[in-house]
Amino acid sequence: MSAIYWREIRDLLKSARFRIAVCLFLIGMTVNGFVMSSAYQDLLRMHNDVELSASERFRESASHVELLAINFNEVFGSGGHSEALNLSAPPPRMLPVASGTELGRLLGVEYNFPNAVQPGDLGLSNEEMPVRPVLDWEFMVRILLSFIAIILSYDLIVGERERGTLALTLAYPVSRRRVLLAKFAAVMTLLAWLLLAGSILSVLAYLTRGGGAFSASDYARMLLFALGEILYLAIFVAVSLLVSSRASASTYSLTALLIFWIAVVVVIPQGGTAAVQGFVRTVSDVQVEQKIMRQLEDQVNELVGEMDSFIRSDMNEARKDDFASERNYARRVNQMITTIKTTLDEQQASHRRQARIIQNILRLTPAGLFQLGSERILGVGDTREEHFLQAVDKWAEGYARFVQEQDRLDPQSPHIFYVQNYMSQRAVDPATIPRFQFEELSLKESLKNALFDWALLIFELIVALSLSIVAFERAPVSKTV
Amino acid sequence: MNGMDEAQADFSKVTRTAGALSVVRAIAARELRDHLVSARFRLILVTTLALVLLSTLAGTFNYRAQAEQYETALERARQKLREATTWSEFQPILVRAVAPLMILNAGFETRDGRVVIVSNNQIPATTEDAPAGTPYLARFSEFDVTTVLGDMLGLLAVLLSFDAVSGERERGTLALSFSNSLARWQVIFGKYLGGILALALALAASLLIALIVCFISRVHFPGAEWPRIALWILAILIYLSAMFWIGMLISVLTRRTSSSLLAAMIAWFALVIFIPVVAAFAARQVVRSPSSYMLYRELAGLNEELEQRSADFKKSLGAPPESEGISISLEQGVSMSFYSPETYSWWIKYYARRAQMEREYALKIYNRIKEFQDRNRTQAERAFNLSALSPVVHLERVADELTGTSRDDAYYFMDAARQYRQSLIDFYDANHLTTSLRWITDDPPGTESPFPKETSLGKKANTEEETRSETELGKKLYAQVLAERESGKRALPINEIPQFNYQPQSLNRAISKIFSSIAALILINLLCAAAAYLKFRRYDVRRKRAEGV
Repeated sequence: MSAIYWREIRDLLKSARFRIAVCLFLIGMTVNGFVMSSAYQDLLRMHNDVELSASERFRESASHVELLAINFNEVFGSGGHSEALNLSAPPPRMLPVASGTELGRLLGVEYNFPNAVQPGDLGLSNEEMPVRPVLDWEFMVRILLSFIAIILSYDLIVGERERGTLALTLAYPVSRRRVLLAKFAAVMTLLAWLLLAGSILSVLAYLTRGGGAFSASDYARMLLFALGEILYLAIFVAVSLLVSSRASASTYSLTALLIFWIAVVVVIPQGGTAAVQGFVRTVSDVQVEQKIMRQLEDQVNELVGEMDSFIRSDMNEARKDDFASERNYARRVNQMITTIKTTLDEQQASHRRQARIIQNILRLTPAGLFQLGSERILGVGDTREEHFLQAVDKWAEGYARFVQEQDRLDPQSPHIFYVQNYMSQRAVDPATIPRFQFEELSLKESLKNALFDWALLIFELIVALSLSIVAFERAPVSKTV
Repeated sequence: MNGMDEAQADFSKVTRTAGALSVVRAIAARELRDHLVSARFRLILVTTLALVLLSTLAGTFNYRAQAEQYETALERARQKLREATTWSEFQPILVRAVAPLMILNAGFETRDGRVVIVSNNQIPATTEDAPAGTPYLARFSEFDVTTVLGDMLGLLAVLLSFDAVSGERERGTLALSFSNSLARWQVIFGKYLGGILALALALAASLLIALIVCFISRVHFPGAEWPRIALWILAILIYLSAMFWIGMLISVLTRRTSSSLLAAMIAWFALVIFIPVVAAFAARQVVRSPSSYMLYRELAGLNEELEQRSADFKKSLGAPPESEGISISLEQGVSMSFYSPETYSWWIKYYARRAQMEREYALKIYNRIKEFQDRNRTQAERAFNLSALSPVVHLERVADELTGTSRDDAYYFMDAARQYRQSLIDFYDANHLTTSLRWITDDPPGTESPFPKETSLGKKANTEEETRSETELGKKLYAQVLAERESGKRALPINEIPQFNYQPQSLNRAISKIFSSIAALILINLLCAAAAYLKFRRYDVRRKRAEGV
């Protein structure tokens, strides 16, 4: 068996197609390393800018407790700043390996106190260019290496049959199954070495050009990602062996495998996405705006109708009846804020629903499983985005609590949240203001997220390999003229 | 398939007919027939038709969503115009119409919003509204009819031609052709003709499906679009022809069909998939992307500066002179004030200067945005140049321009919006509107306060009785004003205002822009054809016994 294995490796190493494959892959990985390092630096700089301006805003607002709330309140445009507070996550360290949604989009939100958040537009994306997939490791493996895997293994059986050497190979005192597995192992070995070489090249280029350093858990993730890569490519090699055993000519084998590749890697993912986009509607921005306007209109009319909900300019007057009308006003305004948040949350939910459906369609093919599983194991993509949004929500709650507590400490304050002039005017120590800190998903969480997709990949590999073994057991040895 | 016998029959037919071109025609006819019955043609055709169906459906859905957005925005624009009571409130909203051909080619149509606001204080540079679409789907490149046809029919072209020469040589029928004193150019050209006709038929079938889907979805293309559609079809044919010649060249350069197919597959993958992605990616290194956050901060800073200078100017004017009359709070958000003529001229002086400053800062902000956009455009151009070898990229650009969904189409609209703003500014200046009363209020000049002089601003109403009667009077006046506005007595003289007449880019202009890409495609055609022919002239048509079984 090892004789077959080594012979196969030697033949492939000498072949022109392997050399072309090596060139294409290594060029791609080097470009990846270089460009990703620049992208990482640019994104990191942007994140630092965001953090810096947030610090400045907090420092400015610390002079009044009230400013901490009002300055970010955009419901009625009250207060000094109409500019929202931006919060962002640093670029993921796994950037070159998988860039998640799109390269150059920093995860961020625009924060409008007290709790409405909207996705911010922080990024390096270029609206002048056609949308192209990002050249990260995940793309290289999913698209290029799967294609290479087919190119290398499409004629493992049928090629020998055409050359007439299949009978010779089967003359070895080895079962057919072992022959197949030897060939399978040979191709996988070469692919594994190719992956290793490419990854090292990319990491070297990335680190030396100033990309973010990798921690130990990052390398662990890369290793797990490599496991996924191997599983994914193995499926293609197994299917190639299957087709190769049954095909009557190598050209038929390659054509059939090509169509398989197109279906699995291109058609089902993109066609499925387009279909879902068409049939599963999400709530559009226009609809959200209209809905908010309608609901607010009713609420504003109610507010106007109520004779006892308004702000008095003379606080001492207001104090006489314990700020009754101001409290009513605040209650109504808070109602409106909740309305806005609910509507925006509904829109987010509809987007998530559509995205879930698309993900489930992606799970129909190994390419989709690989893509989803990779993003999860690496802690990027939508799992990271959801984690970020949850972190923002938690921070927002903590911040609101902080503001209220600081206000409560002031006996002079009327404690009307969040009305200008009716909250504490005391200064706050900027150092005590809770800052937003983003912690990446832990390795354990990522593993849990990726488990299902990885498991399906393993299952599909076992099925493909078994089928190819069965097919090879029955395969004819010589070419029928 | 018994290639030998059929070949024999054809060749005898061929020797009977006279004329070089009829030879070519005969060869073409045979090739066409062979293609149409082949498994690969049928398989890929069926896949293509299914994908065209899906992508056209997706196109019609997107078109309807865009059209809905357009109608809503248009209605909102009309509404806002009706509500404007003063010249400073008069901010026409321009809405870009949807390109009907976006169904066939999505292009950049959905990458931008549609609404542009024209006003004294901003120069149109970006759209006001966000593009319709989900951020989660940003990872997928466009899946439209042009992409499907480009990728799939391009693949078909290469699959039809990769064994045109090497396959026949393997089967032994090539040698047979030349035993009948056929010129080499006739064979090659005949094969090309046959292939192109097969591809044209596949294209026609796909377009038929697309048309049926459009018809069922009740989407019609206006008559003016059909020349564009015709040119779009022509561009696809030129592209397919280029792919076919690439395959043919590969066929001539390789000895066995298995290596032909391999080379053809690698070529297709490299040209259609790999190169565009790598080029777009590498361009980021060549021209670094500007940071949108920095732009956002700069613009915010400029706006703050404007507000600061405006506030400083206000302070320098001193306090507004005491006005007579009364300021009554009628309901939340509505108060009524009566100013004396002195106060009004104070306000007019302030707003006149402010209008000037607004224009100054509008220009600064516009220049920043333009810098940002220019950087991105340069990066996009680099990406395009780096992928010049890929016929698909050229097809993309040509399709974008012809269907009116290119980036330039959006810029063209923005340019027109800017010119319209300038004509508005000229109109304001010619009629001295920024220094007029109508800039800030629609009350006719000399409107007097109906309230007795005793209850002037600053003196509080003494009794509850007085407060109530004041408020009643105020409410009556307000109702009167509202009625006048409703009846149009206070309307802005809209008919005198310059109108926005917008025509999208003409077809001629679009054609002049895609000239280089069409030339590139034709060049690829010619180069590959020439190379294939030259190689074929010395091609050894005999099948050596030692090769294969």
